[in-house]
Amino acid sequence: MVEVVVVDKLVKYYGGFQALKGVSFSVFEGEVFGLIGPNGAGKTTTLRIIATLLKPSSGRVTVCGYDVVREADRVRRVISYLPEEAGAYRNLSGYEYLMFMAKLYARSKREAEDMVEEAIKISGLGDRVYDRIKTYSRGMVRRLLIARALMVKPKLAILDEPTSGIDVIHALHIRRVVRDYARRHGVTILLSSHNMLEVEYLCDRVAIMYGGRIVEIGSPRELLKRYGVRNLEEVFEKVVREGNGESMGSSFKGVKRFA
Amino acid sequence: MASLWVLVLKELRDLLRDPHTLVMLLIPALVYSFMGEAAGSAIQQAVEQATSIKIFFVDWDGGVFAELLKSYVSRMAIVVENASKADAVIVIPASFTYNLSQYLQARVVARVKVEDVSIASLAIINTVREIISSFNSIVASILSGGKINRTDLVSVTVFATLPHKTLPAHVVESIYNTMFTLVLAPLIVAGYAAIISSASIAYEKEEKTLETLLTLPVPRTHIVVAKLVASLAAATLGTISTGFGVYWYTVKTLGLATPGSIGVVEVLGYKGLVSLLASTMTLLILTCVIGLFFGMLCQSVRGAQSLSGLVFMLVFAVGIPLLMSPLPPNPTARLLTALIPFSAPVIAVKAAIIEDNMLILATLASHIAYTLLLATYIAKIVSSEKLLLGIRLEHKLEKY
Repeated sequence: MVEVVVVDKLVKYYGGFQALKGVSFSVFEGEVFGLIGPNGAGKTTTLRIIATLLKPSSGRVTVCGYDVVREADRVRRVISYLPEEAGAYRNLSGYEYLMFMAKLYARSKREAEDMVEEAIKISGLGDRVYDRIKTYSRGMVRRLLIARALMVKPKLAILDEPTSGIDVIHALHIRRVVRDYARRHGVTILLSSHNMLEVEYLCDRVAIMYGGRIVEIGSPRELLKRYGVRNLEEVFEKVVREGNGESMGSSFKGVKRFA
Repeated sequence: MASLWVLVLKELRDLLRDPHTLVMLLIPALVYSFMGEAAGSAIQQAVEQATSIKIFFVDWDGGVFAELLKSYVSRMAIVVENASKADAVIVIPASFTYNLSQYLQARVVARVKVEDVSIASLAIINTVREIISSFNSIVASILSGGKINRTDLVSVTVFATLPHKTLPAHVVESIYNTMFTLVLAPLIVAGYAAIISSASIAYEKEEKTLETLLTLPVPRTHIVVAKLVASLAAATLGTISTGFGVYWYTVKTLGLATPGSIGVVEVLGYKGLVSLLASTMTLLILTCVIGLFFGMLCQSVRGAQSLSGLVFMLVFAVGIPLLMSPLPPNPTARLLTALIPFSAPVIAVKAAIIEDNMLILATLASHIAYTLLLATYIAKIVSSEKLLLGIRLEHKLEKY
């Protein structure tokens, strides 16, 4: 199997605070890989380093064989990144926004138009795509951004909390879109979430992050079997409790319960 | 009513605890005080220069009224024996006394030496004119025994002698007013350019579009250059529209400049016009780059705009006193003046009038150098993670 992402002993400091404490994992071509964990576990920092936004304090990350620090420009050509709290240009229409993005990736006008056409289908915005983004609901903006991230058929799509802050119906739509698109086009997807249900539904493999470390890694089915539990939330609870015996009160902040 | 007061208090607390608001509240007081001091000092200098004016007479007449004129002038100004030491040379024509004794108009010519076109030059020109005009009452009193009070017996034609040319005084006055009109638009728009460009990058942060933008497959320098070009285009359009507005206000409404008698090309020449355009563009590019830098420092559009408001004030604090003051006579001091940030259009226009090409080049070069220095630093920030995480100054401000 071809490794699209290789993260090796990744460490990141913000001033005196150590956000990542030696994170290592790989993501293989065509798989949907999820980073899960509570707020402050280091998921977003890891994704931002892979997306070339932050520089690691130590350790090494490659995407499709390109080093994220030394070959950041090349990495940016093969990835598409969706930040957790992303916005879009309010004064553009959805169509103009998609076309602007498509032109930066496409080699011809025809290719850009095809990308936008695909994005309109993914987003499900219909004719509303021609309206100004400032008239969109939060869910519509998120769908537009997901479509933008996927339409360019990147080698690696990095989705940070793809369904964050949106309602159940829109979240369901986005999960379906992501899963179908990954299967149809063989796009590798690396996503983060603290929504365990989402991760179980979408991911081929997951890595559980806690306190800046990866504490467990495997397919959801493997993890459930290994820990003898019914869902990933229970896996997470067991992993953390067995791992370091820390109080779960604070560590579970932000982890949604679906029991 | 009580709820309104609660809301007002909350708004006030929110506004006054925002360091950006404090910047907007305190800095104008400091900057305008400085500008007032500088402009006041220029005016004071002009008044002092005008009251201690040194005059040399060329007397082709030698008659009674010529002697009377010299004696009268010596009470108000210093009459010197050496033309090279004089601020003004007054030429009394041969027919002066004869004309006056015949109740005919007599004309004297005054040549006022000026280093450049400034408020000081105008003050000297006006002083010479006033002195000669006031001599009319003496002449009228002598001729009619105080029965008539004619003010047109002695007239004066004043010329201003600049380093490379001599111009009629009214042309110099017109140039001064035209100069204001020409320079005001770039100065106004330079401030707006900073605000526009700073908002363009702060907007990306506020609207959470920056992270996506930074991961697009384009060099990051392109992102910054694109913002710079767009801000510059907006600023250029702004300059044209402001220039039109300033022209309309000063020429049509106030009637300050007299474009009918003297045009921009006449004032500056084609070379001067090109210098003005080039200096305006360098100033706009510099303020746009400063705006981008301020935008990078701030996390919100409000913060970026308030910081960039400083540029607006600084541009005026530098430009207006420079416009009013004479250029230093010493060439080295003059070149140092060209190093003052935001001075480019004023220095370029003044240098064009006195045909000092070295000064034009110096002011353009200094502004290009400042721009490149700041642009290099910006490129460094953009290629690092600082743009996303914030620069220390902003952290400190927010902590404060």
